[in-house]
Parts: sequence; C-alpha cells; structure tokens
Amino acid sequence: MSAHRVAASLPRIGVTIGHTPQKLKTGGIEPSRRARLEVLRRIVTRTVREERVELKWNRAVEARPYVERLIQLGVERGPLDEYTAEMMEWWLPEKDLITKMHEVIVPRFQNRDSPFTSLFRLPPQRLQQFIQNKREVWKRYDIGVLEIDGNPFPAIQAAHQEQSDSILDVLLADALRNHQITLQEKLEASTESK
Amino acid sequence: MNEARARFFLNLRQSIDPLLRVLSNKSAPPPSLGLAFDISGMPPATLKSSALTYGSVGEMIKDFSIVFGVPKYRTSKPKKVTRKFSFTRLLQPIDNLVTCPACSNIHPSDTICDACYSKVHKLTSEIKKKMMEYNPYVGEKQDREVYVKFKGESEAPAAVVKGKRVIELEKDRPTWFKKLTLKE
Amino acid sequence: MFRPAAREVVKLPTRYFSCKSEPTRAVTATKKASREEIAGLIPAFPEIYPDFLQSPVWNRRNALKEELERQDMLERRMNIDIPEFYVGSIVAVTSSDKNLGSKEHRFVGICIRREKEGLLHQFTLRNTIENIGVEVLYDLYNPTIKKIETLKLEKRLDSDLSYLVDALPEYSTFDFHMEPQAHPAGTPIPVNECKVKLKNPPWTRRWEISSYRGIDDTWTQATPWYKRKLHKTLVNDYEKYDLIANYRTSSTKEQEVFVQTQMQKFEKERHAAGLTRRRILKSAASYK
Repeated sequence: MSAHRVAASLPRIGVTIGHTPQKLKTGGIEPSRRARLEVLRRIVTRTVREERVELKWNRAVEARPYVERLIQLGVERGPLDEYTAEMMEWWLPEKDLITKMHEVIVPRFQNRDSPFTSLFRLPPQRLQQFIQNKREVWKRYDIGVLEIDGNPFPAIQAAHQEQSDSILDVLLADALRNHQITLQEKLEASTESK
Repeated sequence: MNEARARFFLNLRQSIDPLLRVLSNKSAPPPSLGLAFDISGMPPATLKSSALTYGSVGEMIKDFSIVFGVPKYRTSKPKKVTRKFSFTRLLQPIDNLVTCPACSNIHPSDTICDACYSKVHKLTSEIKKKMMEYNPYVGEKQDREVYVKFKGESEAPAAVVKGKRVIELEKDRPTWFKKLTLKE
Repeated sequence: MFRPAAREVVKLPTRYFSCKSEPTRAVTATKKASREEIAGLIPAFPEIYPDFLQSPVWNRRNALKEELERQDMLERRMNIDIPEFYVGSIVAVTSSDKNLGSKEHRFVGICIRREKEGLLHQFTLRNTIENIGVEVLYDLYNPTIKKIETLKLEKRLDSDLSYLVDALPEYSTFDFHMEPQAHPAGTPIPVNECKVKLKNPPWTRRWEISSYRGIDDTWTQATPWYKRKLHKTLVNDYEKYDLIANYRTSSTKEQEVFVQTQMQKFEKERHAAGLTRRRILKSAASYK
C-alpha cells in the first residue's frame, strides 16, 4: 500500500523492458539501486540533450524505457502536472533540458503512440582502452545507438528503397529512367526554341 | 639393462671426480667416491670400449633427466580433451551475416551496417557540435527544433523552416542525406 | 448505498466527524480524458475498482485467472450492490451471523485499507467502540455480506490510513446511527485534507520517517531514541523516481479500457435479458 494516491494510469510503453532491473555500476558510488538510477539519470539527461547517443548496448536497452516514460508523461499529462514536474526535475537536473523536453521533444509526439525512441545495435567493436607500459589494452564492446525520433540528424537506416534484385527489373527501371531523361531534355529544348 | 646402469654410474663418477678435484685445493687427487656397485656381472672389455665420458652438457642432462621435475601423475584424458577442445578453444561459425544493400559491407543481421553508420556518425557529430553551441548558464536554451543548412544551399522556404533554429555547415550536403522538403 | 440522483443533504445535528471536508481542486481535463468519458469509460477506474486491477507483481499476472475471477466478481456484483467507496470513506457493512439473535451484524467505520486484487479483495473498517479501537477486515466478495453502504463518500490525503491505529481515538470515532450523506452526482469526490494527531509513542511503525501526508508533525512527538537512530536508517526515498519500477507495479490504460468495456458488455447483456436493472460500472464523479 502506498502512502500517496496512485496517479492515473498511463498507456503501455511500446519498447522491450527487461524482466529484471540490471545492476549498473558507476565510479564514486557503491553498486546499488541508487547507483543504478544515477547511471540511468546521466544517460537520460545526455539523450535529451544530444538526441542521439552511443552507449553500451545493455545500458541503452535499460535506459530506453525511462526515456520513453518521461516523454510519455510529457505527452499525456503536460508540464503543469505535479507528478510530471517532479519527475522531469529529477531526471533532467539541467533546467534548460526541461524546457527542451516540453517545447521541442514533446510537441513532436503529440499525435503519436509509443515508441518515441529508436535503438540500433552496432556490430561488436574492439576499441583501445588504454596503453600501459607500451602495452595496448583492447576490449570488445557491444554498442547501441539510442536516439529520440524526429531529430535533425541524418537517418541511421536509409528509407527502404523499393527495388527488386532481379536483373530484368533493374534493366527496366534503368530504361524507364533514361526514357524520362530524354523526354525531359526534349521538353527543355522545345521551351528554349520557343 | 645392468650394463646400462653400470655405464651410467661410471660416467657419473668420472664426471664428479674432476669437479671435486677443483673444489679441494690439494694437488693430490682425492680418493674417489666410494660408489659400491656390483659390476661383476659385466665383462670388463665392454666397459673399456664404451664411451665413458660425456661429450657435452646436453648429453649429461639427457641422462640426468630422471632427477629433474616431471609430472607425478598422468593427466587424465578428459582433462587433455578439455584443454584442447573446450568451448573456449573452439571457433563458432558466424551464420547470421548479411550484406548491406547500400554499401555491400558484411555485418551480422541483428546489427546495422557499421560502414554506413560511420558516415552518419561523422555528420551527426558535426551537427551536434553546432547544436551544442549555446550557454545554458546565461539563459540560452535549446527551445526550438533544428534545421540543418549546408554550404551552397539556398535559403529554405519559411514553410519548411517554420521558426526552427538554422544550423549552417561548411560543407556540401552528402548525396545520401535527403533534403527536408515540404512533403517530409 | 450511494444514489447518484439529486437528494436533499441531511443536516447532521451533531458533528460526527472531527475533520472538515473541502472540495478537491479542479482537475484540468486533457483531450484524451474527455474522449474516454464520451465512450462511457471512467477516468478514476483504478481508484474505484481496485479489485479489477492486475496484480502489482508482474509475474503473477495471469490473464486466464483474471478472466475467470472477473466473471465471478461480475456475477456477484449483479446480486449485491457494491457502492463506490474509497480509503477514507465511511462505510457500513451488514453481514449475516448465525450466532447472533438478529442473525445479522452491522458495522460502521472508516475504510482504512483496500488490498489485494480479484476475488480476494479486502477492505478494513475502523471505528472506536467503548474507547477501544476496532478494525474489521471484510472480504469484498464474501457471500455472507448482505449489504454495503457508503455513508460518506470522500477521500483522504493518503491511500492507506493504517496510521489511525496510533492516532487519537477521536479521529476514528463514528456514530453507528450516522445518516448517509448524499454526494451530488457529477461533482468531484471531496478530499478531506485533515491531518491527524498521533498518540504519544510507542507507535506500531516509525511514522516520523514515513511519507504519509495525513499525519500532523510526527517529528516532535517521536522519541529521542528513534531520532538518534535516524542517521542509521536506510531511507530509500529515491525509489519513487524509478519510473519503470513504478510502471511494473501499476496498471496500464489498455488493461483498464479492456476491463471496462467487458463490464459494459456484461451489463448490457443482463439488461437486455430483462433480469435486472442493476448497474455495475458507475462513478459519482463522472456521472451525467
């Protein structure tokens, strides 16, 4: 039983939520639930500020529902709601980001359902960690790219082009394109002569 | 067998004698170590004819090998098999590779193409750098959407920009980054 | 029983209730909320029908079990009028008891707790009888319950009033012959913003570190021993910011809409059969 009244319920979040909260560690805080929230808060703040971030895959998976929920609160309840304001204040400790959330990000999703974010996985990469006594230490990383939809950056995955791999289709498409170009040239020539 | 043993100990004695001679500074050779072995069963002619001194240290070590550290117990078969072929030593085939339709790069099917992404990443960083050029400590905010304008592009129509914050990049628009149009 | 029809408010001769009631602040309705109201759905569904919610434990949510229990619950609600009441409302329950001369027993008290989901839903009533605090825990779907009445429909600042155990007895004293007060239909449920005063310690729980809003100044009353102990106490008040932990235990809009449409359908079928005119899904605040 909670001390306070339960807030009115919200729709489902349209992204995967792991069955167990992950233990996320960070320097300076002993690994705990508090440290986990601190890690997530940093990620959420950074995601809202930069709109596209590269993270360790497991952290990206873990942080994504939090970003979703925060946006959902903004969309469903609006900035005047008490609970929303409290959550925004905690999750986005920088004041200008709360403004960005309400004025830039939330209006994008007014007439849209969840998910509001995308998550892409990069192939496993070997990256150099540090050099110790001329010894290079490399580590394998699984990297995920988390982004808030509707950002100004180039799309990570190009829109699927409708084209067949069959040679006949390729030749036909090419012939049509050539035909169109010649028609265009003729039209231009005729307009110039006039 | 007996003969081999006799030869070994004879060799040993002959090798140790000069050493002892050096160690003791006396001129006279010390009495030989009293190694009492039954070598009666051996014909003396064979003993004389065989090579009784070591040609090299290697030879000596070869004979001495029983004195050095060696495995005490036999390594069991499962241990050997595990050491050679356990799951950490085996290479797993990667069977989920696909080809990127845009750049023909090969990548696992559950990931995006990293060659394509590196291009995107580079441009994203440039835009991000421009986007982050504001000072929140003097009250500046990211309170508008961002519109990216590349070098040599004409001013976008007001209907497209719609009061967005225009970021200008000092480079041409890449062919793969589609321009924002009215249709979107 | 709560009747939504306009009714003359009975003026009580004496003050039974030591806290004053104030109407709740106006809620700013969003577009989506109004859309739901048009469809006959109740925005405050989880508060009015906590027995129709899913288990807060994620892996105990079983669609088949919930469905079967819901059928039984709806059947029961067709046979008995279960009115709308909240934690903080004053409720009277009449239950049959074969050992009594009158064969039935009526208990009046303030609802201090509503717990569990499905057929096992329980609520606790509290009253002070002959200066002794009495709490009676009722199963909502217990067939021996004959009648449930809401004498006064209101909410308190908290959704759990367990602290009344340690409060002064005047805060949980209610007259057994209290007249039911009508709630004007279509108006929001009033929130009684009274803050109770606790008795002197020892208490059943450490109320001074709890986040209950309905308790008045617990710190001055707390014993020095507990005050000294505070810095050793592990306070995990940051847990409320864990949005996804909250999401895991709360119900979703989709589920609520699904249950409500099912209830509407059930009601309509029974009405069409002409067996009853009883309404199951109703809310005093969103009555038109």
